[in-house]
Amino acid sequence: MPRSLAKRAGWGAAALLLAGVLSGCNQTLPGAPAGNPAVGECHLIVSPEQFDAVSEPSPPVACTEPHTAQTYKVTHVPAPLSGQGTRPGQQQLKALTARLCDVASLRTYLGAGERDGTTGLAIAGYAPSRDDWERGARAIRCDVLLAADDGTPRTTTLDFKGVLAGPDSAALRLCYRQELADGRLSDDGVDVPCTEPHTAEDISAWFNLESSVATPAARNARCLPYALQFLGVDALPAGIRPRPIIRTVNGAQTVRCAVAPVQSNVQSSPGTITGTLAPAGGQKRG
Amino acid sequence: MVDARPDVPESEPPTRFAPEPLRRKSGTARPLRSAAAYLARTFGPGEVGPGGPGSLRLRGVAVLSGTLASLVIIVRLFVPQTVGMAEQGAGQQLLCSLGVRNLKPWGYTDLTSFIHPSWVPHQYYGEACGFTGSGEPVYSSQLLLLWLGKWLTPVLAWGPGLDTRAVGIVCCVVFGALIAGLVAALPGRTPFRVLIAALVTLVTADGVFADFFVSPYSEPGALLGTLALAVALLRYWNGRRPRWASVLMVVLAAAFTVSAMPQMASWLPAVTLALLWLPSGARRRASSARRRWQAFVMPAAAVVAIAGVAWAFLAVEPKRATEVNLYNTVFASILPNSPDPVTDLKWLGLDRSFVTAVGSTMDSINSAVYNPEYPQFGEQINRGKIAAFFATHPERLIGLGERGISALLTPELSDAGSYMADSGQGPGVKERRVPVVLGLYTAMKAAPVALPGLHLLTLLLGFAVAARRKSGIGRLAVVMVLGCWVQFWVVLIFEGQPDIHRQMIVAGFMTALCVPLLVALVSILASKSTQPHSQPHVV
Repeated sequence: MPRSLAKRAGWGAAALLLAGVLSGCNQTLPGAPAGNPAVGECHLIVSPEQFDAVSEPSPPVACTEPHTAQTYKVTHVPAPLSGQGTRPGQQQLKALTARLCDVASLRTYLGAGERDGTTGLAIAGYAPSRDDWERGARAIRCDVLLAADDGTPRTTTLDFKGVLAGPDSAALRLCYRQELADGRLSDDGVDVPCTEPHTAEDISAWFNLESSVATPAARNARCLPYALQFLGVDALPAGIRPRPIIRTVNGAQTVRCAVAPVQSNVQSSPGTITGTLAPAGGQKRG
Repeated sequence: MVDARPDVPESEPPTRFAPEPLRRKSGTARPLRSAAAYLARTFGPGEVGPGGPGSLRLRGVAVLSGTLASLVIIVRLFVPQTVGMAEQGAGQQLLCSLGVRNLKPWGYTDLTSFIHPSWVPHQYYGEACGFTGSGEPVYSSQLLLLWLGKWLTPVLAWGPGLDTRAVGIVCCVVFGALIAGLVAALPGRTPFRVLIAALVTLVTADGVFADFFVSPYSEPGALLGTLALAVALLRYWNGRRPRWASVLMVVLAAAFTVSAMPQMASWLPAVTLALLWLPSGARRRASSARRRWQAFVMPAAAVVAIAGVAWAFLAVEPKRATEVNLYNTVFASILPNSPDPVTDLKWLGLDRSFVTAVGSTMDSINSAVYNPEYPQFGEQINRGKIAAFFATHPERLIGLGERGISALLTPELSDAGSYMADSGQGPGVKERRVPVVLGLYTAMKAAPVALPGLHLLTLLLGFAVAARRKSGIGRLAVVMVLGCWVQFWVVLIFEGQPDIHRQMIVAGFMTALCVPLLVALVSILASKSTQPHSQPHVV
């Protein structure tokens, strides 16, 4: 090949390559229409960008397959925002979904009773995509996401609908793992899901640590009604007792009511349990 | 690779530069003049003629210089451990189009404390990939380097996706090729060429620039594009007249550069000047129709082509990005520094209720986006109106310029760590092993006027060399300074304040390139031409 021809071919290839890059080599797929979501659909949300996106059109996965999120509520954009021809901005929509995707609806979907404490759950709200909005879609999708302490999504095969009323609720329940010091358990504990070894289980009742509840006996007495409500009994069963956890945040001390097996408080090596003490859940002694 | 070729036609006698200073008074040499004389003697351009630049020896020196420069940056980035630029959340919007997802912590602080180079294959859907907040696709010529990095990643056993360390290696290789091209395109003796190339390598090796090579950002495309454009322009000016190959090289380099980042479109006026600023000899020689076509029409066509690329690139810029920039300009730049924000709001056609959003960004609690009147912002504010505001309020440019100089002289992204999480370094620790530019800029902060001083000196000496020695280096210095000024003001006026330190990186790089250019200019001016002044001098 003559040198000039080779040179021209090289330039042509370079130009084509550049044109190719500029014209886009985007490997993103359009995904499912985001205008018609359904309650109960499961999704695999794995990145912060996906979590924070205005719309989330990844195709649903079967809830028996590994997933990180499930749609617990579908609602609609209220007026006057719904009347806009072009989709509002990210901040407006995120403020809206934060209001519409409420915790009360989530607890109802999860089958949570008044005394069921949960952990590792995050809420994400999604609006229609720009194209779907312009086609008239106004549905807001509210997802519940199972997440680790640092926010990283955790995969599960659980169906979240009514899960707290069933036998598989331990993964979503809040428990505490206390440290043993001088033969006694610490007042505070690390938050863990109840599927991990723990020493106490949260019963979703908090109050400020003030003089009237300064003694352990007073705190136990204050937590007792909540414990009975949690356990669904009129009197504490043998071997279970309230165990308030004292949490200090920014100098303010709060008492979190919890329940625990009695013996785990006095052993030199406290017995930990996995699972839940809730009536519908099973537990194992560690 | 750029081929070396004669700087002057074979029919013209070579221009010779004696090693003695040009205007040396006997016995009164001042330190500066002595330094210039030393530069001229040791590294001066010397003889420039057909036997020099095109020789096999020079080609060997160019390849060796490029290889060494590439290795220096590779060692600097990867030995004893990898350093790079931690991302601040925007990296995904470019790389996601390659079908990869970053393995990174979920929390923002953990994200910015270290570099997280591994990206794994991932299928994106809809708006999850694209500009933050809207999902609009993001384009950049940096994708070319990222694509090569993605190809290289499995070859280097860094997994099946993309590793920004592989992108760093690609950037180093491209940088080496550009240094080789620079050595080939520069005029003068070999030591002179190698000195200038070494200085450019030293400038680029500073962590404030080189660390970007190992990052998901588009800055490497802008920095390498700027360098490529400089090399292409030197080649373009070296000829007797514009030749299609050298013009095409400028067009490709400029197209790559202006499409690296939206702010890089500011190169357009400087490139236009560069393409149309031909040596007077070239115009005189354009006697025949074909020559005239080559001398005028071809550069003009190149300008149109580059402008077309810039226009197309800005046309596909995410609308959301434009909105964010305009928001930042109004609420984070104009209004917080205004003596009367309400009057300014009125001038801009905005409701006075927006005054509560002064100083905010879009993500702030008091953001204007929550104001029911916010649609008014989209209707009233555009780039033309912002330009008109500053044109009618020129006094605001003083404070704006001061803030811009301060940002340019603070090139480090303070909250972006340089090391990997398993490096043993603490969170957010910056790497400063080659702080030449950082040191220079830190020193200049004591007297910020030194920055425009450096620009003006480069500009004046550039004009002097371009006029008296007909040298491409002189023209390059002028174009670099003018391009830097346009970029500086475009960033300040149209892109707001919150992310200004990162947006000033390219202007900071162009300013830093003034140092090797100044050395070259002083060296040339301190040398004496032995040719009669009536003859054209081409350096």
